[in-house]
Amino acid sequence: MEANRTKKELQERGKNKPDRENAVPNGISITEAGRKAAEQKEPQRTPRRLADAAVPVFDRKAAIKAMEEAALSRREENDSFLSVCKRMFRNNKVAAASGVILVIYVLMILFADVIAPYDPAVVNLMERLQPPSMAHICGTDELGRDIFSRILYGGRVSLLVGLVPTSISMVIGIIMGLLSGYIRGLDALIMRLADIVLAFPSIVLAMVVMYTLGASTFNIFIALSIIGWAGTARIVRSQTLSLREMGFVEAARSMGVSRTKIMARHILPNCLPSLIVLFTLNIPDAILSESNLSFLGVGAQPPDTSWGLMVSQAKGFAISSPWMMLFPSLAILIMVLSLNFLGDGLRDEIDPHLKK
Amino acid sequence: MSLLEIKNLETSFFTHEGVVRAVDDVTIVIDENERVGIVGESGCGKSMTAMSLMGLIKKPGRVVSGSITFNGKDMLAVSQREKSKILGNEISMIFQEPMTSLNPVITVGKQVKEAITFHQKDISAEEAKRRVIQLFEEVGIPDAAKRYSAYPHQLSGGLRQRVMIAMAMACRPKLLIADEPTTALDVTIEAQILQLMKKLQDETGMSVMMITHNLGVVAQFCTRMYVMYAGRIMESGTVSEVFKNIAHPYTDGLMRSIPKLESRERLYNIKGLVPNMLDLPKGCRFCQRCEYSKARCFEEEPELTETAPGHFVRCFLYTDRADQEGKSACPENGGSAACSPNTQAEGGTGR
Amino acid sequence: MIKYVTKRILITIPILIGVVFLIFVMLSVVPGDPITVMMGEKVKPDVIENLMERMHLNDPWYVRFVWYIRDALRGDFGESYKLHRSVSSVIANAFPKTLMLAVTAACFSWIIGIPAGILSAVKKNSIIDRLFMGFALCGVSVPAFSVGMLLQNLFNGILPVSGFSSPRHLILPAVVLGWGAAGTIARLTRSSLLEVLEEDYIRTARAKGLMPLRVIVTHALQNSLLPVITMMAIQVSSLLSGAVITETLFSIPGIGRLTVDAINTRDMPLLQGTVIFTTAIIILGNLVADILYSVVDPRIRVEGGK
Repeated sequence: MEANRTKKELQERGKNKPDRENAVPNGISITEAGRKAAEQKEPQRTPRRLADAAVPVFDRKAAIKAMEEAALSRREENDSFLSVCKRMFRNNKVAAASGVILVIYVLMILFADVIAPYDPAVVNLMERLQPPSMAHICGTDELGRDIFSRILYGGRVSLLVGLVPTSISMVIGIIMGLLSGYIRGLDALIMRLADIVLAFPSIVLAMVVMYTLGASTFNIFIALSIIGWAGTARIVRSQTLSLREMGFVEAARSMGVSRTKIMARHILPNCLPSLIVLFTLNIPDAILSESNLSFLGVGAQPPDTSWGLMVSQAKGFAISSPWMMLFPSLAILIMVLSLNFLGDGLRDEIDPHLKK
Repeated sequence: MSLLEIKNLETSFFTHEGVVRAVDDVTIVIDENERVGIVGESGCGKSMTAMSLMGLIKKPGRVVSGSITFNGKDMLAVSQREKSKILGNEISMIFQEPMTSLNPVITVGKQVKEAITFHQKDISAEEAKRRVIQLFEEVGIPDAAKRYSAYPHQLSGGLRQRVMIAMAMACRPKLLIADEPTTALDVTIEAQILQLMKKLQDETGMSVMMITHNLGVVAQFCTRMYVMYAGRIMESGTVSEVFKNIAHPYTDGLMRSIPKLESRERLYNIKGLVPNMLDLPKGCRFCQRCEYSKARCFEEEPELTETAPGHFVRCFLYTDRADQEGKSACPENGGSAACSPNTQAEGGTGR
Repeated sequence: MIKYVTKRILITIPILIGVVFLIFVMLSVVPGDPITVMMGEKVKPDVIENLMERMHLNDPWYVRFVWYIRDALRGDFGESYKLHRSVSSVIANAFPKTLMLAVTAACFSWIIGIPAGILSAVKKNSIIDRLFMGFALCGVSVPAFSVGMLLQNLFNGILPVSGFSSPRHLILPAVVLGWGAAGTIARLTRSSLLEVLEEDYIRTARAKGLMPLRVIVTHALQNSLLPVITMMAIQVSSLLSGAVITETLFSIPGIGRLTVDAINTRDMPLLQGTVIFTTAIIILGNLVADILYSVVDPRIRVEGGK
């Protein structure tokens, strides 16, 4: 890790150096040009500084801002996703380990039927609130159900909640972003809409949507999709804005290629790397949101179970039977952490500009 | 005794891909009251040489070997405390980017004052402020008193560079290192700044190490020069000598890539790029781009050879000549023209 | 500067209206008869008619929206179905508790987060750095109520674990609420300071001969804290919304708890009021953050949004 970091720094430095030293002989250096550009953008200073400095991955709004900024100023080559992954696995051991853990984890959840020692729904009042033991490695809950088995099955809901709304919201976000970035007339409308959605504290908005739709696992998908698209749309928009000025897009346009084709063939593929990163970072966010909703009673409803629901069902037992909340919390922690590390690692490789 | 002696300095960056010798066996001597130019393309190690002297090399780089003696003190061995007494006081430095080299949230006056108060503890705040305003006047900042409380972003590039110079001059240093001080500035401002530095140098008798990629600056400003390429000194000597008898093909190439009015012929450019510092050629570092390179140049590296008193060149064209006592070392096809690049370069340098 | 602030405020207004509109529409389509929610099943038809008339429930939703906006501007958010009190007085009663909680949590997060971030940056890649950053990561990678329950378990008997009757009751909820924020602040401080340390003017300061510690204190800290200050202002407001979870877990009768109660009792005007209020506070918080940033950064302060 130590070595990795120094290497990254060096790469970074290597990337900076030409900018600094490469001076065009006529007396105006590249930095000068950069400064002029920066000065023109002075009023937007606040978001830029904040985003540049922050880049906290786990803070979704700041991450969106940062990636937006990066997209606007990006100028580098495009790597294939596979080569990015390879590079990440070589350079970033933490991200690589996270990837491996994640795969094992998902497999365990998918094969819950095979692995789970008990039926997660079978109530056994004789064995209620058992602390962890050989028979129940994570203990049992207030109805005597095996917590380990329930974690495995509950993972399915959590995983679905991570994947489905994230996918839906990204599709909506991509379409909105492309439209907004490519069709001037729609830009203001879509972006104000996104601003409004982003203005809400996401948990509160999700609560209202769940209230409107009624609490059920399926409605969580809808609620989180409604909330999630705005961030994606803004990132796609800013990438579209910078891509549409690039040579190959202008060339395509001058050859009379239609708008839809340009968006689909030229702009979207170039947004993909960032979108993949965003996807990995949005999943843990959705999982945490679901947990919160379940805790507030407007999320997953029994007999379905999810990790968030398991923790919240342990509410009355936090003091007497801490294992009830501890293991599902750990399940969330491991999933969220490894996804975040993975997304972080991918982003470092794809967007060295954002690297810290 | 000379003021600054950098001897066989090697500064390397230890990367995953390998070791980058940014500065490799560099020897530079600067006497008192002397203006010395270090010339070379970007990334040839000239800034790194200065940074090594200032102790500003960042990880994963470090000075590997060699010695730096300033005013009798071994700069690589002195304690942090002692070094902080020398930096900004006896040695000061001006950087390339006046835009970013000043702290944006502190007024320029305070930043210059800091240099004074840090090194002269007994000075009072008002006295220091007066000195700063006086310095501002010296470096030609109009409205000096008013500019004292300006923030960097309120000043133009030229003014900011003047502030940097004022800061560097604050403690009357013995050695001023100017790292591309005019590169980021307009050409008209460049001339003013050079003039200012020359004036200050005349008045104070300090020495100046001028790091630049611009031979014009060297011609105008310096008395002696070193040409660096890929971490190595390629040629050195007094400016008049080197400009008159350009010896190294690289210096020649630099010289010929300056645009000139008289000729309408295509501007020369040195073919190829600076070699990858991780994968340097086995022989002479310039061999791949050199017009005169021959088999030997790819195999072994030439030593610095004295071609005229005080004029050193690292090129087989001259070592051979010295070795073989007048026997022509020219490549067969090139004839006499190829033998001494300076004959070709005459047009470009005859000014 | 003034121009910048004005512009910033003008952008905020349509967003605020949009927020109210969105909430209003969403809650208007909820099936369910408010009169039933209010009075129960057995109500005389003429009473219903009377109430419907009084509450403008016979009008289409857009007419009601206009009514709502007009009333809201006067500070009237309607009357709670269940509590039979005006929503604004209910909110006014609950808000100080939430505010107190959020401010305590914010202070906690700054006191922990900023020094931790500075230390991590200065001792970059050391064990301390790893430890702090590990904590920061874990803080935002589990739901807040998990942390809360863990603390309830660990501090049971030492500190009060529920209710809101003394300052001591504030400690655990504030820690839970501030935990994630502390992590964010620490990471932000660290990355910001590290970034600033790479700046050219830090090199200038070092070339002046200043010792490393002094360079950090006089030249790096002020610059690196600029984004942190902005984040702090944003955070106070986001902590207000995070209070939903904390207040539910620790049974604190604040705005967050009120929102959850409103949902559970299907008390539409109350829900509308709390959500709009919370969101408005957050929007204002972000506005203040932006303005604050322009005040502390001379680049913007002196010349303004030119």
